[in-house]
Amino acid sequence: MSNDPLQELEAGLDRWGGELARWPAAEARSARALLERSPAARALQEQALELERDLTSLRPEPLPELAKAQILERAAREARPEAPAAARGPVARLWRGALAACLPLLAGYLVGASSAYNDDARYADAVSELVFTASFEETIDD
Amino acid sequence: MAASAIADATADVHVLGRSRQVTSTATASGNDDQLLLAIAGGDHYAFTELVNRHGDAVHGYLLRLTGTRSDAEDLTQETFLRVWRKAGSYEPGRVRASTWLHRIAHNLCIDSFRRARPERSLDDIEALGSDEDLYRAQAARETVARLELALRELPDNQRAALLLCQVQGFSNAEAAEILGLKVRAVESLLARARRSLRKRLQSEEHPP
Repeated sequence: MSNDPLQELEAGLDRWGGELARWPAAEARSARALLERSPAARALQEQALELERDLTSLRPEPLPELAKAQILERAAREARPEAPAAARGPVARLWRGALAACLPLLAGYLVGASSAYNDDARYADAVSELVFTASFEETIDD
Repeated sequence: MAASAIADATADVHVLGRSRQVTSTATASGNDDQLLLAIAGGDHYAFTELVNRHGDAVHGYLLRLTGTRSDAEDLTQETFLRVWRKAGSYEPGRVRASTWLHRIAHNLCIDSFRRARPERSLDDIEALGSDEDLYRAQAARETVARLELALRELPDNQRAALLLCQVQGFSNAEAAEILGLKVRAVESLLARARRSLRKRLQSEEHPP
């Protein structure tokens, strides 16, 4: 950011426009102070506001009636809009309920199966360790 | 309008898990959120009302973005048909309905730009092509005509940001939502656009 307050004001006018109400509060305060004491600053703001007035006065471009009629006709030809997946009537809601009820059962099964597997694995590890130790001891004894 | 649609004056609306009955007579005076809820339930009256309310604004934005009447009309049509099909995905309260509509319109416009010229995007520095001189025909002395012309020569992304904030009346944050950018990026686009416009208009008023 420049140290020249006028350049800073110009940059702010470019970024946020001529209406200080649209500026961030801190920057708007500094700008107001500058505008009070500097005619050059006021000229810059007036220039920005004039551009905005010109832009807002651009003539409206109404949608031609024929195009509007075509939109409505095409929509009328199409079936009912897609409802969100979550709201496709009572059957969908029934299925959702059934699925929700099954989820805890499924989760329980998975947890159980996984811990059983872990127990089996631990058991297998322990047995193999015993067998290995025993055979190692036999080797030493030999 | 289809006779069945007219007969179906009361629609059973299911949106985002909520179910409600919407009568078409009520939607005519309803706000945009209520209209979109009704449209999601297949209410043609609500759809007609939405097109009446926002058709001109969306068309004006697309016309100034594309620069051609036929493209603007086609894209406006596509925008509203997309709304008709996807109204159920609108989340009331997250953004204004007009912001959502403009976002759909803007994205369709980008897609059409890409189809027309795959290398083109809104990040291009290049201005819109001058295939159809909508505004050149008007006398360059008129301020509005000069402004329209100067607007057309801005890069696409700068023009889009300026149109949304200065012509369509959106806040910088809403424009950011529509353009899919951060607010600071929109502010930067606006700054460059205003600077370019000002310089261009000044140079026309005071030629070297």
